[in-house]
Amino acid sequence: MATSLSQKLDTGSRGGGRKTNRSRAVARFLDNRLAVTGLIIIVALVLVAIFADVLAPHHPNNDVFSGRRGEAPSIEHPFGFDHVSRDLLSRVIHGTRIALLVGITSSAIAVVIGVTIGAIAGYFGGWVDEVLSLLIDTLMAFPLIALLIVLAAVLGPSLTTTITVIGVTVWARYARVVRAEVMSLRERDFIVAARALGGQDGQIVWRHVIPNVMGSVIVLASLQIGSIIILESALSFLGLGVRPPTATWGGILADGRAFIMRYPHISIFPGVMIVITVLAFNFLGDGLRDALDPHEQP
Amino acid sequence: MVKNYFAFRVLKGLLVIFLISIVTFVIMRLMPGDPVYLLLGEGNIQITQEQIDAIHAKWGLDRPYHEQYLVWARNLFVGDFGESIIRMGVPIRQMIFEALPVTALLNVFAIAIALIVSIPFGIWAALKRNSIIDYAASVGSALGIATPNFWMALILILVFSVRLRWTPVFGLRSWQGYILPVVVLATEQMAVITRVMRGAVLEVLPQDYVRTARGKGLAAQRVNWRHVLSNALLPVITVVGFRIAFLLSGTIVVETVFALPGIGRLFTDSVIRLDYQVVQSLVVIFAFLVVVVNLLTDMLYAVIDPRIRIA
Repeated sequence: MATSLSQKLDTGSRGGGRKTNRSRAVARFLDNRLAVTGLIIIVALVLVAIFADVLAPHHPNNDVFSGRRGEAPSIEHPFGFDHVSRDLLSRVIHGTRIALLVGITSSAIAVVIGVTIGAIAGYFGGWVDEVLSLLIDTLMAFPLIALLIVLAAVLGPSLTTTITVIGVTVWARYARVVRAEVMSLRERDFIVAARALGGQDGQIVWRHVIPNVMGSVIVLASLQIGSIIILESALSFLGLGVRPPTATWGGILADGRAFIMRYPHISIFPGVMIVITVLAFNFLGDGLRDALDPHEQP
Repeated sequence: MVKNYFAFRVLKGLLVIFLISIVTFVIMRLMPGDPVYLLLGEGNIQITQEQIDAIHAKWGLDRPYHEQYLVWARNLFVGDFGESIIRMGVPIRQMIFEALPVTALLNVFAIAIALIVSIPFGIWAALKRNSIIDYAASVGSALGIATPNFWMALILILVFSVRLRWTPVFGLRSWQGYILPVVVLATEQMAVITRVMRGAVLEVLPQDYVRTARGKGLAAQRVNWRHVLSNALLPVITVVGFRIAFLLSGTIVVETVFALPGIGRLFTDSVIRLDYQVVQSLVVIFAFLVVVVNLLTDMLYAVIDPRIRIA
């Protein structure tokens, strides 16, 4: 009874204009050429990652073309060969999988932790907020890459380690944004009404507060995936991320650095892929932000 | 009021540094492997349990963890970082002072170049909105932000060291060794600062006081300098402060690519060598820097912007 009433109050407080708002946001997004381009590139990259086995002309690790060590790009092998005679195109295609997997999974972990902590801090306030804010500040004062390097070394570098350590260290941003939004939401009529009707705190936060902050969280997430992909490739580049022989963009670049004098072409293509991917996520994020919050536009 | 605010901020900063030192200490103790074995080379030298105990005792590794922490924290407080376990008895302070000039030089040049280029460029782009300059600034920033610094470093090495042979590939045998790393670090900063500067000017331009100034018939130059610039620089200060605080993290990867003997390289090498003492001291120093720079940024902000001083 209490929840159904509060739900009615909830929708009422937004004046029933929600649908038109949403369709207006979609229209704004679709008008933004860069954002749509970003989205199309991301969809394409996701397809490449899913169908990597079919798309890659050769196996990324097992197909060794003996005698063609470090051969430059040709028509049959457009990206050339690496220092142990593997087809680079196939390795770069498989690298897409790791980049997107780490980018998306780590972001999901960070969103869950960040939104939970931010919502608790903002909703309850008081000493709970003080303690959690201190935690957020502490994490934000850590130089991220240094923390990641230490954690990866302690836990032993692997795919799981990479995803986990990035996820549990980058959530502070989400927490800060969500906390600020929840603090202002807390005093709004529909929350006050839900509380007055005897709704339980957990339920109010879950049903009424969190749905209202998801817009900012989605924008932040799409902007963060790009920087997470850069972090992952930096870790793999340093040999502290996903272990070889698994093909990762950062790992291939590490090979490229080692053989930069003899086989310069190794260093080129994985980097181009990183830039394209990060640009696509950043365009998507900027487009979403402008579409959801038109006042922010200069 | 202002004094109280800053006293509060300083206290909170100290608390953050304290928490970071504890977290770092705990993480480092979780590291697998006994440094004593690394020191002696595993299996190469026969040592007795007594000898291991003696080494543990010398470094205080036999004491309970909380005692180890307290000793370390007290020494840190008076600026004594202890000695490296792996590089037999070399004081960490000496290791840091040896590496510091390289990193400092890289970062001072990078941030100076970035500011000199990107502040005027950002302003110019905003004043000439939708011109070629503006598009160049936007495209440049977007690309600069999306390019990992270590890949940019590799490409520059390919072009200028391998092909053209203008600069050395790795290391610092001559001053030319600084050119590429500085360019990489500066580009990273430029991308962000140009974007922020452009955005800040665009936000100030339609404000009432700018229109009033123009309406009064003031020359466009004068309005731009006095009214637009002084207000638009505020958000840039925050970003620059933030960037300076985290500059060291940028150098970690770049110093590794170019094999430069700076703080970043010292850090990654120490992590790989399991040199606890060096890693934990460096992390606390990094964090201390972040807290201090953030504090200074806020203070500078309060000095420049009277609205904050009063509030």
